[in-house]
Amino acid sequence: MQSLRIQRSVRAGAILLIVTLSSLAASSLLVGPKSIRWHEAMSAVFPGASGRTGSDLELTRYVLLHLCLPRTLLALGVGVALALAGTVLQALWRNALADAGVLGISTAAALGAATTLVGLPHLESVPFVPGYLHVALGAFLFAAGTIALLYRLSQRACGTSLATLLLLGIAFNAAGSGLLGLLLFVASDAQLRALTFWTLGSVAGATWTVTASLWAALGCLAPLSWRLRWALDALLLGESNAFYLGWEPRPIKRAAIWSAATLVAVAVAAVGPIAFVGLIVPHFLRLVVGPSHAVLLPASAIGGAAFVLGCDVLARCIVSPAELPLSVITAGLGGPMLLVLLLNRSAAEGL
Amino acid sequence: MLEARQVRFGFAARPLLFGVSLELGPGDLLGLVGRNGSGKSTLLRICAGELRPSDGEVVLEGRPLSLWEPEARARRVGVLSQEQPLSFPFRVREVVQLAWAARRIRSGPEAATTVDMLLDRFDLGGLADRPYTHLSGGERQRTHIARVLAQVCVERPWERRYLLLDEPTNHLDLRFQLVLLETLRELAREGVGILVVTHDVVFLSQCVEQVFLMECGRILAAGPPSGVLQSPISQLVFGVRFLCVEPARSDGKRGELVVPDMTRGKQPWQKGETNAESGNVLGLATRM
Repeated sequence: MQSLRIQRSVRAGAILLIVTLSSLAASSLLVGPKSIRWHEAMSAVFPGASGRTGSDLELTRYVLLHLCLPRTLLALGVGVALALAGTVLQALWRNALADAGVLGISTAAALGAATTLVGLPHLESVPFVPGYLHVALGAFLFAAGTIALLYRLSQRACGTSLATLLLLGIAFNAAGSGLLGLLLFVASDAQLRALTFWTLGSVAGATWTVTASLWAALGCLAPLSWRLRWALDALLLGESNAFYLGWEPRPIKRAAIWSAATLVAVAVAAVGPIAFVGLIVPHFLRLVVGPSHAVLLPASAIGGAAFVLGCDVLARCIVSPAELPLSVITAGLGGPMLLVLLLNRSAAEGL
Repeated sequence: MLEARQVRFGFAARPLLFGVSLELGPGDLLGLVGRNGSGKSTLLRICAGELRPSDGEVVLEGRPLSLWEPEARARRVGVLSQEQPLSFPFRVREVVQLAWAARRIRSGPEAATTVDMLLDRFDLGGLADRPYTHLSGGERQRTHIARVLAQVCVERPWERRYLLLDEPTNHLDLRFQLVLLETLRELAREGVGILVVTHDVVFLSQCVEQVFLMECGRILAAGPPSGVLQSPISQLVFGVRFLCVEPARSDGKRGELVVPDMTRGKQPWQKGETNAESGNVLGLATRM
């Protein structure tokens, strides 16, 4: 009886998430400096249906297909990547407060991306290699290195206590920010401007190349995280218990580290560091759907996509026709949300 | 048969086990006692396959444990560890179901029946849908015991199964110690081999047929609980004398209860003076 009710509420939650996601996607397509009406959009995409033609329609069509659509898809993809990475990292550390941003992994990825942008500028001009690719590679190498190092250090320092983990995160963030500052210092004026905007994080520069690369990476990584769902559940019981239950913890941890690092790296390389998504989304959804990864992973993917897309729509609306950087909104919403969750949690569980 | 053969383990600076051998056959109920740091839990983790011995080997059904597929091993050997770091709000039922995560059994009617049976046995039926994080220490321990029992529950009755339990009575009140005791006896009758590591000698003397006394990484004595615990060597190890009580039973059967005398001998002995002969002393401790 009880489990039937739970199943029903899970289904209701899934429907709610999907409805929210689609309405957000629709508004993301139509909202912006050039706001588009619904019937305009329809007649621009299906020109034959209304019988209307003209340059205005062509413009609407261009804006929809080459600006709004890739941007919407990019925001969705970044949300999926960051929320999945957050979920996997929280399982890896058995800690609901682990996150790429808090642990300094985002900063490391940003540092890697900035290093390739500033240190290897000539790669931009190599034909057939999209500029995005080497930036993503730089971000990936730094993110993966940081996760591996963090995991080592936090294991050595007597298990994975919250305090150790957060202190390590502070240290990594500080070191990363310092080095990032150094790169800003040596960058040329044009690089400086690009880097500054990039470190604020925004999906405004979405192109089909970036969006397609991100979704291609997601196509490989999301199934990998999905395959880890039972193993991650077992890992939550501790490495010893996971072993007793018939898992080898080492390959699981390796797969979790690499998939999380790659997810963070492609997201950061595509849009810059976006704070709090990987922390807030799984943390909040775990309260709603429970910690079982068979449910939490898909819920986080949808929830993360909805969260980032919603924040991007807000970023475009608040100071229209200008727009705020995406990270300003996610941090502005995520910070207070985290605070509320923490206060509730500490009251309930004595954190 | 789950066998540890001349197992050594440790680091150059601090060896932990010096050639320990242990045999756990089907239906055996064995106990392992010793002081803190004597190597009991290390031996248990080696028998579980989690730690690799530096010398010697652990053999399950005639085949080295390390060669078993993790899944097949998990079906046969269930382990209750002393520490449970779970801090995520799984429901109690979900925690028990995690027992089968590696076998990808999700929720068949048979699995549900097993879970319900185990939850009822440990009086967790009413808590089945409560988050684990809201449970008390004893309720958490019962949940994990139910999970470990579910792991080796009869899925393939022809396979022999073994349980390695590290401090199973932790946080349990007397009522559930009794439930656990009866469950373990029942499982042993069904042919499950059980090894219990505990400091709770009263529970141990009721539960197991044979006790191994460990000290400094060696097994010093083996035999029936009253014999081993009342031997001079156990008094030397623990610094405490043990009393053997034989409660009068209406069914006429004999039952022994071993109780540590925590008064350090300031009060006169009342009953059952030491009975060293029934314990088989295997060796002497080198470092006391």
